Formats: sequence, structure tokens, C-alpha cells
Amino acid sequence: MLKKLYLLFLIALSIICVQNASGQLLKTDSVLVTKEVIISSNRLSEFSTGYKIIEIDSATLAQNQANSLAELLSNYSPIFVKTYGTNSLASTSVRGMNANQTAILWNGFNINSSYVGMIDLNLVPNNFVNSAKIQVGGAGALWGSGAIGGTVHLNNQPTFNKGLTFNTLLNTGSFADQQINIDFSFSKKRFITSFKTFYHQAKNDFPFINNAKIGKPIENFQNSESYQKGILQENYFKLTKNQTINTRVWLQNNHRHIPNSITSGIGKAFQNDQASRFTTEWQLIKSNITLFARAAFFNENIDYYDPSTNLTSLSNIKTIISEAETKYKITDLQTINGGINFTYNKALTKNYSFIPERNRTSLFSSYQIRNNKSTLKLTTSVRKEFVNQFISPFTYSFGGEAKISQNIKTRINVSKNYRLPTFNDLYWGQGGNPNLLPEEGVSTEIGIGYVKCSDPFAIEFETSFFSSNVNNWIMWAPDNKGVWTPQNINKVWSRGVEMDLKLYATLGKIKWVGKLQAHYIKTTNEKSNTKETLHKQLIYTPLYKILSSISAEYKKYRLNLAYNFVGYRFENTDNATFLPGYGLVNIDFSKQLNLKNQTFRAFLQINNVTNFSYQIIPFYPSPMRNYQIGISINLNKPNKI
Amino acid sequence: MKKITFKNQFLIASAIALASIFTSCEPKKNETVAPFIQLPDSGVYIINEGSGKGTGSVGFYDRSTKKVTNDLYSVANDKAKLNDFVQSINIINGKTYIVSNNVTKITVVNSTNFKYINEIDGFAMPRYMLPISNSKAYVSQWGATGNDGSVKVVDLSTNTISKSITTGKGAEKMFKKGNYVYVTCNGGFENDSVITIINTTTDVVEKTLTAGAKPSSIVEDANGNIWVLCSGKYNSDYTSLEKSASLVKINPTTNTIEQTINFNDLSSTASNLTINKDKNKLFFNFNGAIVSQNITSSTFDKTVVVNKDFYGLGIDPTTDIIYGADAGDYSSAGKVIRYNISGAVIDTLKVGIAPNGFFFK
Repeated sequence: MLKKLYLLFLIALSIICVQNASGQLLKTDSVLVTKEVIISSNRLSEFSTGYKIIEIDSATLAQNQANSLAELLSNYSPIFVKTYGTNSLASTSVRGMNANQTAILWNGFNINSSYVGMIDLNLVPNNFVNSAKIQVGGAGALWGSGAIGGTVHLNNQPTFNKGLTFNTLLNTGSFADQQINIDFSFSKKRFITSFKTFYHQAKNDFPFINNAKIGKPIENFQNSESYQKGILQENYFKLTKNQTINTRVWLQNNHRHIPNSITSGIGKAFQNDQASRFTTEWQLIKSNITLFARAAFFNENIDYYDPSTNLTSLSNIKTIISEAETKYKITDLQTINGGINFTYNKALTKNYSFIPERNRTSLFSSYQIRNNKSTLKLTTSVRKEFVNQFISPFTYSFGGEAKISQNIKTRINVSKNYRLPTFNDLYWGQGGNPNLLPEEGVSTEIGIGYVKCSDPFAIEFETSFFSSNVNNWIMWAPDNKGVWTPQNINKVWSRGVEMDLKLYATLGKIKWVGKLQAHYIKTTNEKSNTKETLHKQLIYTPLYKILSSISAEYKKYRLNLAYNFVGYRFENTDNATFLPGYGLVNIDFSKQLNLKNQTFRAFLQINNVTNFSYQIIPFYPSPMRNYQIGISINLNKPNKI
Repeated sequence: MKKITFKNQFLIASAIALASIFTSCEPKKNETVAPFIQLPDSGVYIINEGSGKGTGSVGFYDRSTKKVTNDLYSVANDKAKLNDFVQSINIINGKTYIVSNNVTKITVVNSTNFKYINEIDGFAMPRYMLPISNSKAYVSQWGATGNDGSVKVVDLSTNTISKSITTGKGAEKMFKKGNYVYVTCNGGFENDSVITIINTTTDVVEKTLTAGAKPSSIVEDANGNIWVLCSGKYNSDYTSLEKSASLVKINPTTNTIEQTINFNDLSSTASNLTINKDKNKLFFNFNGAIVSQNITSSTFDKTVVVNKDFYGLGIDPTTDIIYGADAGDYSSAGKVIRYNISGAVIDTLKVGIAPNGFFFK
């Protein structure tokens, strides 16, 4: 088996080398070794064998408390975030796939809306999340419909017996950006209650170079202001030594103006997004058996208004999820789990001629076996979803990990994945296509990682090669009556190489960390009526993304210098024109002051230091150089013993 | 073999990291565009609606050189872009007026070199522009909501709107004959079935004719009669047609509908009415084809000329060549296929994104 894995790797390597010779690929060597992630409540830690998992470390999360998930993922993860102007719609693209092909899970619950199949990343505040991990690659057998390109896991992980904690953050930035976070938590031996709030407003009237106009004048972006507020309330109870139960309530209200592309004049449209999310979970953990039961209710309103066209579009989406799962340790080296998930979606909008409902029942199971020394690990997962009106495919994954030597680890994963059409795809009043089939495809990847620690240096290095197909890819295009309608017309092939490198060094009193993530991902359309668009890169999807940073820490002073590059993106399906790549230099500086039970942190961020004018999506400008400055205070009063 | 020390490994890795940051490249642009534009007096303008985000353009086909120059505006104006969803153009007194659907403005350029002159502001979903005199033009529009209808009177000397004339909903194509302008009102995003007749000397509505569902395009035949193609109407959920397409013939001396040819066919809408050089045969899109209709027929001929659907259609009045605009996937370069009047292919031109129509000069 080991030999086979190694052979596979060599074959892949030789393919890559050939491509390298043609100058197509980055000279890549490797990436970050998958960390053993410890997570309390789901399948990610145990059954993600052979997947690449990127964890956004707590220092980075702490540094980005005043930002949204959109900025966090864009600056620190392999995800390409498509934003239509700051604070406006931001959606994910993992390994060339679309937003609705990325599952976003909050404490194990999929929070993508059934209406459009995605969640706007600008609507997820970072201070509501304790842990962010990105599982790259298709994982439909673990997470169900939509987990094709990757899965983002956002979790809240409390600590018992921590005492009374109070956190606050005040942040102000360019373009009238202001944020305040207030968190409060009370943590006893068997009980935690926590209350987090935030308020954020920004005018986003940043100057930009209007390259659509003659003379390229500098103008200010308009109709882009945003106001957000939210509460996250959590309770955790340790019922017995082995049993915990928790409840979470996440309420959020967003009022945002929706800017037009600069070639469409200045609009007046705005949108109110309101979300109420309620979840509860019960866990029983015994030596060889673990039981989980969890349930969620989400109520979301997306209300869009355009005063200039007198258009009002009100939508309400309701989701109920309930899941039961058990994990059983057969022997010390074998674990099996199984579970059942019910998901109910309902959408109420005058954009549809009726009120669609969807019931989805999923049965899933995983099995893992390890060898004695834990140098070899194999996992098989299967999942079958039963959905009204659809025949959804049986999904599976096979993963293997092998430690070849002290420093080298290889992994392989093959998975079958799928995605159900969204309600909009199916039922949109003018053009919705109720006859759509689910998208489905197979992803394969292999990776090799290298770790070496030798004081005062350490290297972590991983490279991955993957290939992923999606058949019945849903595209909106005019039909023969001229009505825009979605059809299962495309077939998309995404393949590429990713490398992650981390270097650590402690020299004198300075701790250095260098990071590099580089990706070359080709995502092409493999089915087309015309040869001009066949085998062509998907629009707005970069081939290259490089994140690099170096940070130095000295006596609680921390300086982080980052250079993030996103390569060119084609604007048209025939790849005739492209938007140029952009490289951004960002600087973070912070100073922390630790007193007894008190921590103060002051921070300064300078984004786009070189004042680079760029667009992520054509004619939606992005801000040039901008600043953020803030302070956070953490007070802790431990429990009396 | 010399053993590579860990420190060296570290340095090599750092070097590779640095190197790979700067190794990505962009494809070379192999566009060979003329550095400046010098348009001849006559030719065929191709209107490329685009798919938003600055992708709309106007191209030019030179009848003598048989060459297309794409995106005149961008080439002539230092890569600037037209406003989104370019709907139509018209040429008046050496100025080309470019009407974009998604904005409140009409862009005015020099007709010879396509250099930007100015903009006329104050419209809401403008569709077409028609010269009335040397100093006056009409602009049809759908209104901000897309279901109003009006014709704006533009004073060409001051570039301002001097008057607004309320018409049927979704004022679309216009035709001028004598002192009357006939405005087809297709309902915009909704439905309507009227043709508003405006007296051009007074700029007031003379008469409103009720025709078939969604009057959308208009031509004049050899006998001086005016033909309007009514597209037909969908049911509320757009799954099937509720009212068939039809043709109506207007007598311009009496301003009455003299003849209605109902297609009595709910299989397809009809669009893009045009006429041949001799002005005795109507051409339009129906059921995935270009069909022709003799002006003397009393029923729907349904004669298939070209078995292909087009987003835009035109017949060159000087050469009698049919121009079919194929928008493809609306997100890549479109094609214009040229046919002789009996439907035999002449050639194919590569044009801009989502071509929707032509302007023959």
C-alpha cells in the first residue's frame, strides 16, 4: 500500500514536472503538514483522513477581530473571495469552484442559504468565531450537498472553569469604519454562559481610479455604506462527567447599500439581511462510544430595495436541521460512526409562484482503521441523501495517510460529491428550471508533507496535487425563447497544485514566522457548443494565488508583513480579455500588555500599503491604501478555588 | 554526497518561497487594434449589448475592406468603457449617440473618430433614439421601473431634455413618417399592446392604436404602409405563450390599422422585424429561425429563410444582405453571420459580447 501511494505520488510529480517545463506551473515544492486538529463535536477531526486542512491560528483570529470572515479568508486561506466592493456581497471560490459549491458550517450546521446556496462572508463577524478551519477538496460524504470545492468550519469552543471574562474591542479605520465588540462570559466548573455583541458601520466611500472613464479620474465609491449589529449568546452545561448540552442563539441585523458596477451609474439599492439562528447540542462521551444529538432552526430575511427602479424583493428562508450521530470504537485501532440528518428548507418570496419546501434525509457512516504505530490510517465514508423530487447520488470518500519517515507524511483522497440546485435555480419566477439535476463529480488528491524541527529552526512544508470534475454544472443562459434560465450545461474540470510552507525561527529574543501559500489552479469548462469557449478557464477565477507573510515577535510587540498576490482572471467565457492580477502589501503591528488577569492590546493595520488600484470583479473597485487602528481589553477574574 | 544541513534546507526553502512569489505571469494580449479610428461615411455598426460590467461595445463593419473593428469607443478613448447594456445607436449631424439601457445617460461621440464629446443625462432605461429635425430627437424609454413608457424630446443644440411625452408602457422602437412618429410599446418588463402616434410638430400624442400583444419592432414597406410586429405574450410563470405573435399594417394617411395577421401559433414569440431592400418582404425571427412574409399575404407565410435563431437581425438596405447576430452564451465574443437574401451563408464575423442589433449607414 505504501509503495503504491509513493508510486502515485511520483507519477503525479512527473506530470507536474512536464508541465513545469512548459512554464505553465509555479515552481512549487510543498506545503504545510496537516495538523492534528482537536475539535469537540464533529467528524472533521476523526474522519478527514487524506484531506488538506488549513487552520487559521488563534493569533491571526485575534488580530482580525474587527474584520469579517471575507477579509480573513481572503488574506489567510487558499480561498479566493469574490467581492463586489468592500462590505458588499463576498462569496467563496475554493479550488476554482463557486460559492454554492463550498459548504460553510457553523458548529457543524450548514449555514449556506437554500435560496441562493451560499452565505455572504461579509455577514459573518470574526469575533463570533473561536476557530476557523478550511477543509480543502470535496467532502460530500462527510458534509452532504454542496461540499464540492471545500468546506469551511467555523466553531465556538468554550473553556470551562475560566471565571468571569470581559472583552472589548474598539476599532476605527479609513472611510468612516467603526466597530465595537463587547464580549462577556461567565465560566464555572460545569456551566458557561457567554454573551458576545458587535456593532459595525462603515461608509466605504473610498477613492478609486475610474478606469471606465476617459482620463481615469479619481472618484469616490458611492452607495456602499454598511451597518451591522449582532448578538451571540451561548450556554454550556456539563450535566454529568460525560454529558454536555449547549444552546446558541445568533441574531444579526445588517443594513447595506448595494453599489453598482461603475459602468452602470450610481445606484440607490440597499438590502436588509436579518438572521436568527438557534442551535442546541447534546453530547455523551464514554470510553468507546460517543453520542451526539443536535438541532438548529434558522430564520433569515433578505429584503432588497431599489428606490430608483421602485423594486422591492422580500424573501424569507426557514431551515430546520436535526442530526443524530454515534461513534463507536470497535478496537483500539478501528472506529466507526453513523448518523442521520434531517434538513428542511422553505422559502417565502414573491419571486417564486409558490412556496417551495425541501425535505432532505441523509444517512452517513465512516469507518477508520489505523496500524499499531499510527503510521498508516485509512478511512472510508459514505453518505446517501434522500430529497423530495431529486435522485441524489450516493457519495463516498476513501482517504489514506501514511507516515513514510520521521519527517515525511503522504496522503491520498478520492471522493464523490454533489450539490442540489438552489431554490432560485429551480423556482425563480421568470426562468427557474424545475427540471434541473444535481451537480455531481469526483475529486482526487494526493499530498506529501515534510516537517522538521531543529532548534532554533522549524519547517513545515506540504504540497498537494488534485483533480476534480463536476458534471451537470448549472449555468444561467438564455434559452431559445430568450428567457434566462439555468441548465445543466457545463462540465467543469479543476486541477492544480498547491504548496504551503511555514518557517519558524527563534533568533535571540525575536520569534520569526514565515509563511507561503502558493496555488496554481486551472478550472476549465469541458463541455460547450462552441469551440471558442471549450477548455477555457472559468470567468473571474484566478489561476494563481500566493499568500506570503513574515512576522516577528519581540517582547509582545508583533509585526506582520504580508504580500498577497492574486493572478489575472478572465472576464469572458472565451478568455478573450482578463483583469490584471494584483499584489497587496499589508502591515499589521500590535503591542500587547499583560498585567495580572488583564490584557491590553493596541493594533494598527495598514492595508494596500503601495496604494495599488485594483478590481476583483470588473468595474467594482477596491480600496487603495487604508488604515485601521484599535484597542482591545481583556479582563479575567478566575473562579475562587 | 555532501549532506545538506538543516540550516541550508531552511535557507533554500526561504529562497524558493521568495522566488515563487514573483513567478506568475499574465497572458500576452495579441490584440492588433488600430491606434486611432477613422470611420468611413458608410458601413454597418454592430451593437454589442454586453453582459454588464463594462462589456458592452459598438463595432463597425467596413463594406469595402470587409473588416470589423470591435469596441470603437474603447479604442478611440484610451480604453474607457461604455455604460452597461448598450441598446442602440443613431447618427445625427456627425455625432453618434450611444444609448445604454442601464444608466440615465446617452453617450455622444464624434461619428468619424468615435471620440467622446459629452453625455445627455436624465433618462430612465432609454432604448432608442430617433432624429426628428436638425435640432430635435426623440428617445424612447421604459422608465426607472421598466414598466412605464415615455418619449423624451431632446434639444440637440443644448443636449437637454425639453419635454416628456407619455406613451404606452415600454416605449421601444420608433419610426418617423411625415409629421408622425410611431412608437411601439411592448410593455417593458410587463405587457402592453399599443402603438402611440406622436405629432412631431407639436410633440403631443396624436392617437393611440391598439394592436396585438407586445408591439416591438417596426418597418415601412414599398407601398408606404407601416408594419409592426407584435411579439406575443407569455403567461405569468413564463412557461408557455398566452397570446400569439401577430403583424399589423398601419395606413399612415388614416393612421388606422388596416390589416392584422395573427400567427395563431403559441409555439414561439416573434422578434426583430426588418425588411428587404425592395421593401416587399418582411423578415423576422420566429421559432428558432429567420422567416419571411410577403407584404401581400393575408395569412402568416412562415417561410423559413435561415434555420437559426438570432438575438439581433438586420438587412443591409444597400446590399440586401441579412445580418444575423448570434449572442452565443452572452458572455463571450458573439458572431455575426451574413446571408444573402435567399438564406445562403456568405461569411461569419467575430464581434463583441451579446450583439443585439445593427445600424446601417
